Amino acid sequence: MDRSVTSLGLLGAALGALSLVWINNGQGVVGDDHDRHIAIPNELVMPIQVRAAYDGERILFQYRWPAERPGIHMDVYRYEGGEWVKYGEDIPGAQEHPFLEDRVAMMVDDGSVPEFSRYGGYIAIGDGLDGMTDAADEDEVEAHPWMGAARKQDVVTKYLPQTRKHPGEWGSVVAEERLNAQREAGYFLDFWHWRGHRGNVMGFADDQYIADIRGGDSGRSGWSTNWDADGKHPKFMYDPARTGRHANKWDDLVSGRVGQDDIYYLSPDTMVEFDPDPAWQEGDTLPRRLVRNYEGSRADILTAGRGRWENGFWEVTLERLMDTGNPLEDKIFREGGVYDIAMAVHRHATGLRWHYVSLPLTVGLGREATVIAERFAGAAPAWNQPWHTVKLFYPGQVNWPLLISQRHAGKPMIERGVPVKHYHNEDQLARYGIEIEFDEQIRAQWRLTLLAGLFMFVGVGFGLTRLQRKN
Amino acid sequence: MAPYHHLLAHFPIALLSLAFFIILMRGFSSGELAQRFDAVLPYLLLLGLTVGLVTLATGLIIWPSEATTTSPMGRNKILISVWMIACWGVVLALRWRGGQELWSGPGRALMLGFGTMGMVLLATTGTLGGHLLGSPSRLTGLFREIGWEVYHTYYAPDWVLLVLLAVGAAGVAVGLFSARKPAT
Repeated sequence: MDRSVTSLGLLGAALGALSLVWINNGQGVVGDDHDRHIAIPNELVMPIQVRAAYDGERILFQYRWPAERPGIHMDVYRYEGGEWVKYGEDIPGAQEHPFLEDRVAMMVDDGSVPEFSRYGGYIAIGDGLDGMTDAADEDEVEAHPWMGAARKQDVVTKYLPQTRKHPGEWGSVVAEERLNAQREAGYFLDFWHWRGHRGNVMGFADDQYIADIRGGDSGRSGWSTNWDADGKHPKFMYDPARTGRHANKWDDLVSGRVGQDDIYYLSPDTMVEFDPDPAWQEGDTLPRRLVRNYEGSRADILTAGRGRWENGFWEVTLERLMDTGNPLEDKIFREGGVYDIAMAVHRHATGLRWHYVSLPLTVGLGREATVIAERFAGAAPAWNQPWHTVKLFYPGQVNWPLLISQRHAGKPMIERGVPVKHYHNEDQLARYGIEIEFDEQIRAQWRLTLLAGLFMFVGVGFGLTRLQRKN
Repeated sequence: MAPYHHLLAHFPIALLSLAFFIILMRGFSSGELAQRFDAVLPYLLLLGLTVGLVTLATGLIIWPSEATTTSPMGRNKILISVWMIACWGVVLALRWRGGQELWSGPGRALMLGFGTMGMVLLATTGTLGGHLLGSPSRLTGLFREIGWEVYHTYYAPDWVLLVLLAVGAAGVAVGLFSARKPAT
């Protein structure tokens, strides 16, 4: 063959091969793997809007975010084949049905957890968290003297780094005296947690905290479980006298025909004891949760009216006393203060870690901050101030032990206190969060790609050089 | 090591960019000026490649290797840098072996082709370095538009790797075959 043709053919082949790499880059490795608790959401980022107001006694936060449909249901029992079958387990990614509530959550700090202002919720993602590929074994957690015996936990939830002797070992909890001293010193995050079913119905958000675990403030939660283990049926059903039904129909709930203005929940006003006698029909569906008023410190956060979904957006307003009188469980807001917050949203029937989170931002009460709370007088704010839009991102499986390890090139930055936003943005973090889930596979494929490309250059270079030498 | 890496990086960027300018000039001109520039091209390429290798080596020890190869951006930087060096190596080998006569045959297209490839890889390497320093450029936006999200590790599926290997093997075969075949 003519050397010119051969030379140009090799050049063309090299260019073509590199074009193929370009067109197909990033393919062949990343994908859902439910055995490893991996499910990649279609959208990696989403917006949320926030604004705040206060009157010296109360502080209100208003949130608005897009959702294709309102996630107003929690898990349910469906009557099928003569049995009540449960739907709404926490699974990787989104459920195929709508029985997992939407949520908006906000971590709050007053400066007592300085790393939070720089790295936000990342600091609370420790070792072995529930929903992660390397989630701790439930038996081990239950057998742990502090986590299981004292705290009644069966999974590892968010925790702050210094509640552990080694942040990368969930079981290395520091002594109780130390935990108490940390709490006294304000080393905890307040956690405002609005739930589309288990709170919104009764006008509450769940008042929680993050310290050695993510737990509820003292008092009582806003729900109990609707199941009679002996009878193998729900304990309660809809009160036909007040609601005109024993149960809702599965299809009506799934299609949205029973919506946020209908009776879709079992509360003291809508329920009676379960009656096994009615002719239960295939598809009859009852909530697995009985909603009730929150009590005690856990009831500090109210919804101003109910959160509502309209035209593709949720709008939720939460209200709390600036000073709840519980400084060991709540961050106290004061005039002139600046506070760190980070937000998260669950939507489209997702649970566990399949949420979107924000980087930390500040809220100022009469002070310069990212979000400036507007002072108001009277019963309620006018909400005339503009929204502040924040980009939320899917965080994947990046945890704090990784970030402070040798595997993270930014470790020295963290040690120097450089905030995450100086080096990363939300789009980048979302993608890194996914890549770390496939670290070994991607690393292997990257290495092969590097070597194959190198071989191509060397081989083509060798051939072309030999051809040139003979000219 | 980071400051020395940044300092050194200026040299291959400058030397290889100048080399690319000369390749363009010589590729489209046979004038005396172009020929004079071309006379220094092998030395320019050799110097650029040598400093490029040293720069690559210093870049590999800025962070622990575990950290560099865990970061998608770090992986991309290594891959593109290695390919960039390899590509400019091809350019140097062609010009060194082909001499001035190279420009009279298909070598002109080869020099322009591999020179352009090398320049694109060089620009990409620099852009990724900017990202790692925390100052991304708009070039990554262009990459995103045309198919590569730089926050993802750059890797190819197996069948594409086979294509790369096949092309490389074809090059080796051509080289070996041409060595055995008497010159005509």
